[in-house]
Amino acid sequence: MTQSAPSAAQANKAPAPPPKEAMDAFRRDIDVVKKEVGKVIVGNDEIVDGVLMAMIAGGHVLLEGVPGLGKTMLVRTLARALDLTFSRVQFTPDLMPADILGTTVLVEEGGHKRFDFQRGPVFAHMILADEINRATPKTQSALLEAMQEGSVTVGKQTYKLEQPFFVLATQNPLEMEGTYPLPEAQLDRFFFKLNVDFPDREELHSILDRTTGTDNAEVRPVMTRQRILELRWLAREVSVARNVQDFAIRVLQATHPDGPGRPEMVKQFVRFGSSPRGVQSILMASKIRALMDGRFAPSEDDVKATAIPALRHRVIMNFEGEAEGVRADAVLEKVIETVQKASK
Amino acid sequence: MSKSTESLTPSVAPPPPHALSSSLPPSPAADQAIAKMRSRVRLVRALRGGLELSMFGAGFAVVAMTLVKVGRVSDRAGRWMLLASLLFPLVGALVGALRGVSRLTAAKQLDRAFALKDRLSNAVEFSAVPTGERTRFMDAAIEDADQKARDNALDPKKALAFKWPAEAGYAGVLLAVLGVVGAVELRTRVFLPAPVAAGPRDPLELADDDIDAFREVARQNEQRADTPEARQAAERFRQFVDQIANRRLDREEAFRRLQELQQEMEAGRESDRESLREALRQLGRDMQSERNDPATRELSNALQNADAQRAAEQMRELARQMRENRMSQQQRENLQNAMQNAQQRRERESQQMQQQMQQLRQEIDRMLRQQRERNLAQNEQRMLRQRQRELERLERQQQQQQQRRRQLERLERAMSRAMQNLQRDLQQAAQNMEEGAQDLNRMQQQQLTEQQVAELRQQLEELRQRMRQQNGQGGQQQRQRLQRFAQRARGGVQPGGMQPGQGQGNRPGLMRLQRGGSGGNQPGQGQGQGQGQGQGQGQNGGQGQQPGGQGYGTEHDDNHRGAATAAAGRTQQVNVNGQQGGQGPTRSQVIRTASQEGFTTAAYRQVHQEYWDHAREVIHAGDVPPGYRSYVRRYFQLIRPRDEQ
Repeated sequence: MTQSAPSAAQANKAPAPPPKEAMDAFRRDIDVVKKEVGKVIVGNDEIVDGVLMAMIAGGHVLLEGVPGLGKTMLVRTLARALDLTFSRVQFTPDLMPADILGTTVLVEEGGHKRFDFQRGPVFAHMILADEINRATPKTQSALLEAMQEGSVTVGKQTYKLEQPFFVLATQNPLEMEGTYPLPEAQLDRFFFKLNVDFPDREELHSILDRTTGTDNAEVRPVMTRQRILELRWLAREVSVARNVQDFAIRVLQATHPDGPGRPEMVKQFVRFGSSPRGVQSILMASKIRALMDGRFAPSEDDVKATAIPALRHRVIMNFEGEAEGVRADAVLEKVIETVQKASK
Repeated sequence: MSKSTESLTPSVAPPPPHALSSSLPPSPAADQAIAKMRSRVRLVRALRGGLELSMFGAGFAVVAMTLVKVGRVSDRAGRWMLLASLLFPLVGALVGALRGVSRLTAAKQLDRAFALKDRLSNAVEFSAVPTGERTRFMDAAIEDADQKARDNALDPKKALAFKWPAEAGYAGVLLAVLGVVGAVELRTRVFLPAPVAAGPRDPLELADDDIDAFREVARQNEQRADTPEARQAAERFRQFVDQIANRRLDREEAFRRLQELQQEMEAGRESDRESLREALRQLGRDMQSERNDPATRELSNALQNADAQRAAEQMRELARQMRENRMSQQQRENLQNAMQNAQQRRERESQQMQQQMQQLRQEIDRMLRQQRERNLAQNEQRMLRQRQRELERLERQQQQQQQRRRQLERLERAMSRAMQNLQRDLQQAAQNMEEGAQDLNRMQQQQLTEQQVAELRQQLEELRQRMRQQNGQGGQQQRQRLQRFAQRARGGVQPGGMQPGQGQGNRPGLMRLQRGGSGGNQPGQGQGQGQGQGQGQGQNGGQGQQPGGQGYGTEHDDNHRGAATAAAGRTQQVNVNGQQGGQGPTRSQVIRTASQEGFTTAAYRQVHQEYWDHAREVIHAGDVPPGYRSYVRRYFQLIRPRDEQ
C-alpha cells in the first residue's frame, strides 16, 4: 500500500498507556494545536481539522480556493504551531525540478574541488506547494517520489526525507489559463482535497480586526515532531468494525460507473471512480476523527464525513459530467445516500 | 521545541500489537439493551405485519359478507371465508415476529436512536472477534459501549416507537364497511321448493316432439269430433297430454290415468259396435225373402253386411220410388211383407226368449226350494248351476237384444210406420223411409265416430309406448336414442350422421308448377329439395315423372322403404344440387306434357299423408316386425307437416 507508516524503530520505547488515557492525550494535543492555529486563522475549522487529520495520517493535502483566503497563512501557522521546518515553493511555469529537489554544485575547499548536493526546499517537514498547477508536469512530477516514497533521488543518490513529511498544495480554480492540471496519478497521492470557502461576514469581521490593527498574534510551537509520530501510531492502532469498513468499501465501489450499488448519477456522469487509496484515506481519516471525538472506533458517520474530501479529487467526471457542470461533491453525496439506504 | 510543547506531548511509546489484546468481561448492559431491542423490533414488526395484512383480511371479509348477503355464497361457506379473513393479520404478525433480528441490527437501531455514534454496533462487531485476537482498542470500544448503555437508559420503546401504519386506517375503514354490510339485510327472492302436492317428485317426461305430436293429434280429434262422446274423449285425451307436458304426473299416476282412459273408451264400445252390426244383420235376415224384388233384396243384403251407408242409400232409393210412384203394388206388398216378417220375427224371438227365461227361472226356483228342504244330489246341484248359467246367458242375450232394439228403435219405428202407410199413403211411407235412411246415416256417423275413437285409442297405445320407453335406468339411454332418432328424422345434424338437405327451393317441401310458366319455378328448373326432405327425397325425385328430373318427383318409387339402413350407422353425406345439364326436355315439351297430363300441386302434407297411409298398410300387413312398428309410426309422426308449413 502506499500510505507511509511509522517505522518500527519508533515503537516499543515505553509501555503503552491505556487506550482511554492515550485517546484523551490525543484529543488534548489536537485541541491545543487547533487553539494555537485559531489565533491566526479565523474560521475554517473543517479545513484545519482536515489538514490535521491528513498530517496525522501521514498524507498530503490539496487545498483549492480563490486567492486571498489564507491558505498560505494556514500552512505557515500550522508549521509554526507544530514546530516543524517549513518550506514554501511558489510554482510557476518556469520552475524546474531542481528548484524543488535541489542540485549538485561544484565546491572548492582546500584546493580540492568536489560536487556537493545542495538540498532544495523539499527537504523540510512541511512543504507549501503554492499554485501547484502553474508548474509544468515535469516539475509537478518531481514531487511524486517525495510525496509517495518520502525520499528524493538525484543522480544516483537517494536522500531520505525526514518524517513527518507533509505537502500542502494549493491551486486556484479560477485562473485556468496557462495552468497544467494535475494528472490523475498525482492527484491520487493527495490524502485529502479540501475546498477553502469564502469566509462569512462574522469571520470577515474577525479577519479585519486581527489584520488591520496593532495586535499581532504570536504562534507558539505546541507539538513536537516526535509527538506527531506517536499520534500517527495511535491512530493506526484504532480498530475498525467490519460493518463500518464494509460501508466504506461499498461507498468506494459505488463511485465506479460499473460498480455495485452505484446510483444512476454515477453511471451517467462519472468516467472513473476512486482508487483503493480513496478508501484507505477514508478509513484513516475516520479513525482520527473518532479519536478526536473521543471514541475508540470509527462509525459510519465518520466514514460519511471523511468520504467527500478523500474522494472528490479521485472521482473523474466524464464529458457529460463536465459539460453539465456536475460537481464531484454532488455525485459523492448521492453515492453516500444510496449506500446508506441500501445498508438499512 | 518549547516547554509547553514538551508538557503537552508525553512520550507515549506505541505498544506491540500482540500486547494490545486483553480479556475483558462481556458488556452486560449493552447486551441486555440489545436483547430488549431485538424483542422490541420483533414486536413492532409483528404489529405492523398484522396491521398491514389486516387490510387485506378486512377486504376479504367485506367481499365474503357481500357475497353471503347477495346469496352468491352459502352461509356456511361465508362463515369459513370470514374465518379465513382472520388468518391474514395472524400470518402477518407471525411472519413479522419470526423474522430474524440480528444483534447488529438492534444495536444500530439503538445507536441511531440515542446518537451513540455506532458505539453499540461496533461493540457487537468487536465482541464477535475471539478474545485473543482483539486489540486493546476493541476492548476499549466494547467497554465504552457498555458504559454508554449504563449511562443512557436505553429504552427500546424510545428507540423504536410504534407507528400505526396507513394500512391500519384502511383496515379500520373496511371493518366499518364490513359492519355496515353485515347490518344490511338485502331483500332476496327465495325460491321455495314446490309443495309436494303441486307436482310429483319424479314426473314423467316425454320428448318435446312427442308432446307436440300428441297435442296436435288431440287438437285434430277435438276438431273432428262431432258427437259429444268423441268430443269428451278427445278432450280427456288432450287434458291427459297437457298434464304430462306440465310434468304433473309421475309414471305410476300416468299409467293409471292412461289405463282409465283406455278402459273408458273400451267399455262397451266393442260390444255396442258389434251389437249394432248384429242388429243390422238380423234386420237384413228378417227382411230376406224369396219374393223380394231387387231393391228390397239390395236393402236386405246391405243390412246383412251391416253396411249402413249402402242400406241408407237403398232406403232412399225406395223412398224415391215411392215418392215418384214408381213402385208397383207387388213391390209394395213384397216390401211390406218383408218389413212385417222382420217385425214378427223379432217379436217372436223376443217372446221365445221370454218364455225360455221364464221356464228357467221357475225351474231354478223349484230347485232352490228343494235345496232348502233337502240336500240336493250332486247331479242336481250341477244341473242347478247349469240352469243358473243358462239363465245368465239368456239375460245377457236379452240385454243385448234390448240394446240392439234400442239402437234400431228409431229405424224400426220408421220402417213400421212406412209399412203401415205403404198401402194407403205412399208419400208418408216415403217420408218414413227417408227417416229410416237418416237413422241409418246417424248409425253410420256413429261408426265414423267409432273410427275416431279407435284412432284415439291407437294414439293412447302409442302414448303408452312412449311412456314405457321412458323407463327405469335404461330410460335415459332410450331417450337419448330417441332424441338422436328424432333429430335424424327431422334431418338434424348428428356427428357422422346425415345433414339436412341443402335445397334452394323457395319453400321447403313444396314445389308449385304453374300454367304458363312465366312466374315461379318451372318444371325442370327447380333447385332441388328443401330442408326436411333429406337425401331420400332427392334420390327418389330422380325417378319422378315430371320433366327435367332435376327437381323432386311427385310420384313415389314402388320400393317405398328403399334399401335397408346400414346397421353400422356410417352414413355418408350427399348433397344433391340441381344442375343445368341441358339434358331435360324442352320447354315446349314440358308445356305439352302438362297440358296432356294436367298440372300437379303436391303439398308436403299430401305427400306425407300418402306415405303414411301406405306405411300403415304395410304395418298392418305384418311386413314390419312388431318391435319396429313404433319406430315407423314415430318417424312419420316426427316428419309430420306442421302448421307453419
